[in-house]
Amino acid sequence: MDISFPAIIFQAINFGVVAFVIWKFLLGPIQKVLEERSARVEQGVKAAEANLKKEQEMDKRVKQELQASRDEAREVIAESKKQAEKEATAILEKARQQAKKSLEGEQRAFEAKMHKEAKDLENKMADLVTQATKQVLAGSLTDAEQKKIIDSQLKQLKGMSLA
Amino acid sequence: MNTPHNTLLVESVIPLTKDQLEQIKALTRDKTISQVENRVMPDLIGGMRLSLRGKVIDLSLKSRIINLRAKLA
Repeated sequence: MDISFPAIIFQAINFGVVAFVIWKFLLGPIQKVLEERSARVEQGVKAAEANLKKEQEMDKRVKQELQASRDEAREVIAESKKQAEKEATAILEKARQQAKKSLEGEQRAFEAKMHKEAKDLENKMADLVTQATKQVLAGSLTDAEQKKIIDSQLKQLKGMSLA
Repeated sequence: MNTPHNTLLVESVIPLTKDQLEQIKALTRDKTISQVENRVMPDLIGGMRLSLRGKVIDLSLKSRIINLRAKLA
């Protein structure tokens, strides 16, 4: 195989022209497309990262709010429990006081009743005694005894005065 | 049962003797008494009750019993 120098030069020039044409008209747009694609990918990555960050922040905020809600719920439950215990104690105390008052009232009423009955009995006895004394004395004193009483009272009169 | 102003009223279960009435008048030491009236009151049960110008000395057994009743109650 013979090597033709002019053919080599022609081929070289030919290659150079093709390379220039490719560089000038094909490489630029391809590179531009590649750069645009790269930029779009980068933008997409950035957007995805931003979304991820936003999502993480949202997640964090949700967790925080959830925790805050749990804390608040716990506080509300604790406060309600405390309030319920306080009210239960107050109700018990009130009931105890009412029972005591009622018992005292009943006791007082019972004592008053007993006192009245005792007084009634005393009065009844006093009536019986005086009635019996009257009946016994009214018919039993003789004139001599009446005179004796009068004489005795005349002696008593010495110490008294009508003036 | 009003009596004159200067009359001493003596109530008793049995009638009193003049002597007893005089004795009573003397014991009152009241010179203004003009007369002594004796009324028989079986209700008194025993003893006597003297009244002069609204003032009363009650020595009757009835009043004693009433006092006893008050002390017993």
